[in-house]
Amino acid sequence: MNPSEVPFEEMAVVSNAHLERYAEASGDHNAIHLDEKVAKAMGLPGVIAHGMLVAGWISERALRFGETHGKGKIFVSKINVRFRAMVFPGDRISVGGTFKVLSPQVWHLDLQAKNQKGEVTTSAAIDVTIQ
Amino acid sequence: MGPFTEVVNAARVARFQISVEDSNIQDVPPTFLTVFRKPEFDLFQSLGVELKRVLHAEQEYRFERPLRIGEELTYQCRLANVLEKKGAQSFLSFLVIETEFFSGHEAGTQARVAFSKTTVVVREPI
Repeated sequence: MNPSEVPFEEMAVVSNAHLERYAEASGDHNAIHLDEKVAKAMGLPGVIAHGMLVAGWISERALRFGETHGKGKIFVSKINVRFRAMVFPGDRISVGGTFKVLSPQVWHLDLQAKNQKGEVTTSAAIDVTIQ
Repeated sequence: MGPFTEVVNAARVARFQISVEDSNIQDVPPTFLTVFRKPEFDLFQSLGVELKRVLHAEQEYRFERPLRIGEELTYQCRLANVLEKKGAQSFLSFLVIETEFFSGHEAGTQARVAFSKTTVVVREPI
């Protein structure tokens, strides 16, 4: 069966407040996400978003899609995320891609997070399983 | 490293959900496991790697079932692979850390709940 579309949906416009909240909630206080001076000293254009924050938006998109299109209670049973390009405060992040039905219980989604320029910042392969 | 034991604490899950603007389709979002990365950060420190030189390259999680609020997880992590490359402007070290999560106290004797594979790249100036 050919993959079907998961429409792109805007998940967030990244702000420094997102990065501060995520640092606190996740325990990842790496200064490249929080301190402009440190980020620049490390050769980055400025502070960058935690990759896992974007991964959180991608898994949220997969679950929302699964909930709308599936039957019953679902969970992400597998997720593989590749961080391809940096995400900066001000970036507008949308997530979409394709899905296919692997079995009556398992859907496979290939999703990408894109910034406002249409560049793929993050890609993910996700299995959503019906419990 | 480990074993370590942590509870999937309701307040911590709620704070995490707010930070990712999660709509609570799963009681515990799949990426919540990232809150248990402290042993990874400790590992970097023990290897003399400064956290600010670490970039996340890839992350995989596999779950036997969704995590449950209030459950206790025991986990152990190990440095599974190291690959070094010379880039144009820096030395790059790719570190792969694998972590297994079990329900209850005794790692190895309880059912495995989840598996994590983290790949980071460490950039050191030439």
